[in-house]
Amino acid sequence: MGYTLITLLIAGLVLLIDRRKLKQYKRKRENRVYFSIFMIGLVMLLIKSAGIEMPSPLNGISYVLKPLTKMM
Amino acid sequence: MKRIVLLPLCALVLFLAGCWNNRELETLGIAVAMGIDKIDHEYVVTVQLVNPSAVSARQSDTSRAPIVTYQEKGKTIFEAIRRVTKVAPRKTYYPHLKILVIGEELAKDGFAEALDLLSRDPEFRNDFYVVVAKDHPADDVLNVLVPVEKIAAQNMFTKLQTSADVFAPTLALTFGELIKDLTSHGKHAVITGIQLTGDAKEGEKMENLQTSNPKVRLKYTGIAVFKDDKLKGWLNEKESKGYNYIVDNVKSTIVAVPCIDDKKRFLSVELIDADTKLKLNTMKPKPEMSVTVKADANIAEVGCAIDLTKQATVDQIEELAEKDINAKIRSAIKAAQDEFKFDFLGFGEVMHRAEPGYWKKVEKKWDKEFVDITIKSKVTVDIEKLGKRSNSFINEMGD
Amino acid sequence: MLEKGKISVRQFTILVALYTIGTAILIIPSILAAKAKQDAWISGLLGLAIGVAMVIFYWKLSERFQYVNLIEILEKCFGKWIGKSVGFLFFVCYVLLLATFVLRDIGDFMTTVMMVETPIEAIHIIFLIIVLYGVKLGLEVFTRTMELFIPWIVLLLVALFLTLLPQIEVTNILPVFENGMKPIVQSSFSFLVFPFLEMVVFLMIIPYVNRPQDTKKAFMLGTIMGGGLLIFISVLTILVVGPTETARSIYPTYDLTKTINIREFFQRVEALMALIWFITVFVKLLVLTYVSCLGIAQVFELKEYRIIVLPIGLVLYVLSLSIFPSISFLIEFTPVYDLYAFLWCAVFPFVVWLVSLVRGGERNKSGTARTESG
Repeated sequence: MGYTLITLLIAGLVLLIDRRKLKQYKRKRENRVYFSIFMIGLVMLLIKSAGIEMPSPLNGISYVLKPLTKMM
Repeated sequence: MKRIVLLPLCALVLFLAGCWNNRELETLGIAVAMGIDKIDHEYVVTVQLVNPSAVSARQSDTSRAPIVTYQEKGKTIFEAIRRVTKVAPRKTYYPHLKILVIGEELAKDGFAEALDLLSRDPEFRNDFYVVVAKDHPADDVLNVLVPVEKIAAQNMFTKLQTSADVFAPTLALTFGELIKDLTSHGKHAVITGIQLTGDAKEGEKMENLQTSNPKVRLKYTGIAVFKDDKLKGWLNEKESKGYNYIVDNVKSTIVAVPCIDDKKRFLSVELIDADTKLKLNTMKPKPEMSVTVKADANIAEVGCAIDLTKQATVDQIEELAEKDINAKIRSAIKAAQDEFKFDFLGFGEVMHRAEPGYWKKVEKKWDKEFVDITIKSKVTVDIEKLGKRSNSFINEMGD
Repeated sequence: MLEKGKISVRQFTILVALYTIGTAILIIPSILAAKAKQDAWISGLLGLAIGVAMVIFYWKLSERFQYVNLIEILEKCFGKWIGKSVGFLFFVCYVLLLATFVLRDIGDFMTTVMMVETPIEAIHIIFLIIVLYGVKLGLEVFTRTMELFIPWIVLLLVALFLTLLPQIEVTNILPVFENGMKPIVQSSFSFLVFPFLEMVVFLMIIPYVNRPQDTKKAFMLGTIMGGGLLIFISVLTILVVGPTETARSIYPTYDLTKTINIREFFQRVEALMALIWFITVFVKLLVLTYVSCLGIAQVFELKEYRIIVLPIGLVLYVLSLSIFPSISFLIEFTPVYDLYAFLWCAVFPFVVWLVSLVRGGERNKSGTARTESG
């Protein structure tokens, strides 16, 4: 719970610091990209703070490349 | 506006980072020595803590013992250490550990398993000395109260350092060096022994601090020889010194040699700088290795009437000193090849460096090879100075 | 142009050198000693030589495209959409991932040996705040800051060397060539991947040097300075600590600084020495974060990259915490990572170069070919 609060606090701080820039680019591509990345980060952070293990992207890389490393 | 947000944030950073795991000095029990024994498959760890009020320089409370020891058992060292918190009033803090004492029984059984924690845990550094308690469990050694340098661990630490520096039958071996020896295939480990004289129980009392001639003392004796991590035996003082010559540990020591004609009286030669080289001379027909010692020396003490103003006399003294050192080296080699039958002198490492190809073949059975290797030894002593007198006043006294 | 600032050639050299040292200074001795043992220095030199060759290749690639940045190179090569997609993949799957590793490296280091009970999150947040602030201020500002760091690093390194001189045991690096060439080559491959192949990100920075045509020498010089220092540190560690202990240690350089002890008086200075890699890790993370922001901003044709710095920082933060569960996972993953990085940093630029050769040929034949293919 405390962890989730800190997460929201961090997210809030990020928006607070960037709010002027966001106003400046209202309804432009900049804002769409900003919020896409922001939401990805926030969702991951919330998942993490809820204590759910996220699959690491490294597992995927391992899966694909392991046979190759064995060959070498 | 941005700055107003950032400023307190940065300030917060400063305060948070340093104090997460803050431990105030007065809440720590500073461990200065640790002893490990093994009784019935359980490790017994003895921790010696400084008693701050008894050693503080300004207002030391001399009625209290300067050190306190705590002891606990555990299936692993770490369990025992954490169990110590049940008896110790403060959390023990290990970075200032000076000395590790291994009980003789544990040493005989093999002590390597007990050391992993000390090399893995970030709270332990690897610059503390390691010694083996001879004839006693480690906790007896740690319980003794000692005068002058009142913190016993510091006492043992300094004593070992000084005796290794100026006398040389002991070996100031740090934990890091010990691990290096244990993992080397070309050299078995050796560790200096520590012994207490007198009754161990007496040494725990304050009376031991209150006399000028304490009944119980701690004393370094000889060198313990290990095969892998198991204690196999002890070198006597002569062999220990020989060992130190061979591994180039001698910085300064004295050699007592008989006065040239008078075998009953002696003079002291002080070695001020000794340098040893181990070499592989030849591989054919059979490997032959050599020890070469070159030492600079001074005449320190003359106990008889001899004429030091003649070069010939000095030459003779040099020769006698060389003989004496050589005898010590031979005794150490003999101990290694005939008595223990394994290489704790480091000739394997010399072989490894000189003949890597051959070493690959014999690495696993080096100890067997080592026993049959011819080892030559050569000692050169150069006497340069006579102290502040030429001939001794004894010369003028007449008989 | 997304980045309006310009840096000088000298600043570029410093940037490259500090970036090379980066996190490598913490762990490279054990990577080099792992297989090559006492011959680590030979592996090091071999890795450095190939590394410098790679760096020259990167520079040639940049020169071929008149020093435009990587995304523009890709667009010219593969056309707008494929170029952008490939570029996006490169920045997300490689540069950002690398930044994650760097952040996690310093976090793991701090929580393993220096502040054991401090939560890793605290260290990551604090480190990131400074890095993101630096990225927001821009290339010109942070490279100038790095110039201020240089004297400290030099001073500390000289101190490190002098205080360790008495403990050097020359026999530790003998015998030479004990196990033949194979382990030496294996170790040098790891050294090539980490850190030299990571130089590929400078394809994003070369365009912002005031005289990009002069950066070839600076690029090489920076690499050689950084790489040379890494070899020097590795050799010093092996000379003092010994090859087997170096290989077994997770943070050998820290172990090395722990052995400093001049007469019981000058000792326990490892926290001070750690300043060296705090600075270099900071620089590396800064450059990687900056490059990812710049690259992603360019892919989406944003007006400035600064706007996405914080969200990317957020992603970086979460990823760095969940990227791998333990050090053992990382150690097991390392050979896979080597290959993965090799694909992005060597194979990928090589393909770009090949394509540009084919297309460049067309362009030379007829002036109109360019518009047709674009």
